[in-house]
Amino acid sequence: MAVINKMAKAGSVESNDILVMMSPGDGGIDLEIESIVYNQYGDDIKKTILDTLKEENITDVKVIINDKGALDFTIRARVKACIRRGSVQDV
Amino acid sequence: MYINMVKLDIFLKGCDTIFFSDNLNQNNPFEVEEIKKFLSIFGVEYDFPDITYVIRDNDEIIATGSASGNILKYFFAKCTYSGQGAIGIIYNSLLEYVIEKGYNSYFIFTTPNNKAIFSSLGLNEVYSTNSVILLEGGFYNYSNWIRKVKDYVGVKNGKRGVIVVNCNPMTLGHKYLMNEALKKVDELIIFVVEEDLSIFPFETRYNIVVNEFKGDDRVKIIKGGPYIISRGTFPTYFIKQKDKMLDIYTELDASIFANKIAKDLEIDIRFLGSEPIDVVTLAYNKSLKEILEDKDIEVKIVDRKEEANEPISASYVRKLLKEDKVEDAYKLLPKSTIEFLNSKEGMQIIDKIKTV
Repeated sequence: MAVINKMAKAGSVESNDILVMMSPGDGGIDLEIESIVYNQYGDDIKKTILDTLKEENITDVKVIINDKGALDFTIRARVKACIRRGSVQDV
Repeated sequence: MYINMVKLDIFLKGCDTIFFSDNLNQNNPFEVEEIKKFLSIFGVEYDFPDITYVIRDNDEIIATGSASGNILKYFFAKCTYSGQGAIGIIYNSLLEYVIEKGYNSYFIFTTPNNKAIFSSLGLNEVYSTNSVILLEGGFYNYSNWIRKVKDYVGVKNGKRGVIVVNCNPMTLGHKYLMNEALKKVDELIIFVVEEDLSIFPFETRYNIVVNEFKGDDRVKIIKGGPYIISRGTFPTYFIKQKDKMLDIYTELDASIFANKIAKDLEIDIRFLGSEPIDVVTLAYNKSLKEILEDKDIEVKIVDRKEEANEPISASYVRKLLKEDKVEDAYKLLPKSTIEFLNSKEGMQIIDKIKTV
């Protein structure tokens, strides 16, 4: 199981992209979403992120999302990239 | 086609030009001259921040932004290029830097006309005045901070006063100010400035004050956090320089205190030590008094305690320590500071003061 042990970011705030930031959690998933299409797709975005976290076995993380209209697979890719970056073991 | 774009953020202008943000090389006098010239258009002096990004078009800077620690600042774009996302590109590059440095939160210090851009980038406003706006992003924010402080301070019980101190190190002057304040209030909150830019490290400064008031439950000593005289709210405080930015910073810091902190913590009175010497502190006191009184928060300026006709100050104590006049310095210090200076850590700091 991967553990988020440092702050990480993936993506950007360009149009059609999504900025994902993660930091170590307080014993649960704490998700904050801001999106230009929140009214239309907020629930879908939330579900995509939570599903991806579950797939990756992440249960303890703070996530801040700033979405600029990213498509489903972009969101998944950014969340996964952020997990990789945030769960690096310092040697 | 396969350019490495990991470090480069791009955007399209019209449909033909692609812009990149570049890391400005501060060792190159030509580039330094270039950024100085660009910032001078906006009336800003370049003070060699940790990192600066620029976007160029036809070899001319058209937009820039910088970072010092976790403070992002100097966001400017030529007006002919506004609305094309240049500031967003710079922000992305700087964010990369801030996270690489291990910060989990950051501040944006900019002009109010950039407010809409940064709000759309997901940043929250801490406070704005007519001339500046302070925003924050990341995993630490004002509401979390103030909630923790509130929990620690507890339910208000009578008249509540505040003192903000740096205590570099704590002197009998500070002790006198605190004791005078305690005569007038039921509860006293002492904020110790948390920014670690003083010769005595924050933990030391804080612990000395805590020790000095051990057992007195009317006194609550709190870490100042990023919202009270920090590099975010008041950078010139630490460089002790009187320039045109001073008024802007003092107004910002004082306004955050008056409109947010004092309101959330139900503060009735703030105590200040009179300032006979330092121009920065003098300007700050003046601005604080005006802004707080406007919000019906009492401000009491307590005259500095004197010893042999000289006002006691931490800088004077440091001077005595530097000149090896330890006995003279001790006359101006409370017991907790003396105890610390006699410890191994304390000796090391005295040695450090002597070499500076």
